[in-house]
Amino acid sequence: MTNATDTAALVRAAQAGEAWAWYRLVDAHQGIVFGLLQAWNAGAEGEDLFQEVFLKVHKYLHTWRGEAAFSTWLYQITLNTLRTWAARRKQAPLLEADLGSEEDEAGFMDQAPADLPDPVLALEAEARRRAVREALGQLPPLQREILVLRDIQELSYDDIGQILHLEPGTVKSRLFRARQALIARLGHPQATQP
Amino acid sequence: MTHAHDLALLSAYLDGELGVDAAQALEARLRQEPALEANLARLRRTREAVRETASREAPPLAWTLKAMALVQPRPAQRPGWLLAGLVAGLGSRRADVVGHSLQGVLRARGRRKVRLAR
Repeated sequence: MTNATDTAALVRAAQAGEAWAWYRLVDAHQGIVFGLLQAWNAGAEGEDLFQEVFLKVHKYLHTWRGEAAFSTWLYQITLNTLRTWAARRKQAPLLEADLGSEEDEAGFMDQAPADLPDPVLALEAEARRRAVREALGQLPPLQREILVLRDIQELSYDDIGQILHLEPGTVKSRLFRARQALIARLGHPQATQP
Repeated sequence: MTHAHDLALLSAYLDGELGVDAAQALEARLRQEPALEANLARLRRTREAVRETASREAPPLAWTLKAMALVQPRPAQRPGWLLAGLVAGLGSRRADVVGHSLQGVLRARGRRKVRLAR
């Protein structure tokens, strides 16, 4: 993986029309896009979505000025593409409503009690992976996003906050709520949405 | 029963996102409260279960090349790109190998930068 300075230089070269720079940008960052597509179970539509993301990146590359990391910008483009796709397929209900308002945060802390159940652990590896993928797919989009960004992409709270436009404290509480929701779904699986 | 606020603390602790003082305070409690320790272990195993779902595969080479083809090399660059494509087609699924091959070709031709003559 290239570091931030290298990436900025690559972006500038690609903005100037250098094919080799675009080529290396795609190579260095395609894993982010592919990883998110996998986490969203994009399936047969994965290739079209992959191309759609890079088409947008190419189209708007001239607007990247380096205020945020290129990867942050790419995450945002990819997540926006996936949100549009999910909404189009009616795979998911709506976004802000899923996590509630900022005012709900304190209340949630008081309302979410209970020791965590232990539903995941008894399953064998493949069954566990399948169960977790299905449970992730049943989460509201923003909960899924925050879990994937932290637990699969292994981003810091600060990075997640930049990508999702959230304060780190809000990332912390929402991430915990997402984990709790995931555990609840793993304990009580629901039918997968069509 | 573990309070929800403690569970949120455990979640942040697991991620290494608690401050030093808060982490030390929590660790002291973990040594004394088996229920808290058990919940930390469950959160950790759940996180590992999510990580297990991550794909370690690279995207198919055809996807990569199609995305790269959004930018067409200038005419003077095309021989190098043809060579790079050939390298890719002959078995390398890693595009950086292709990129390095291209650079190697150019260096061998005595150019100081990966920038072809216009």
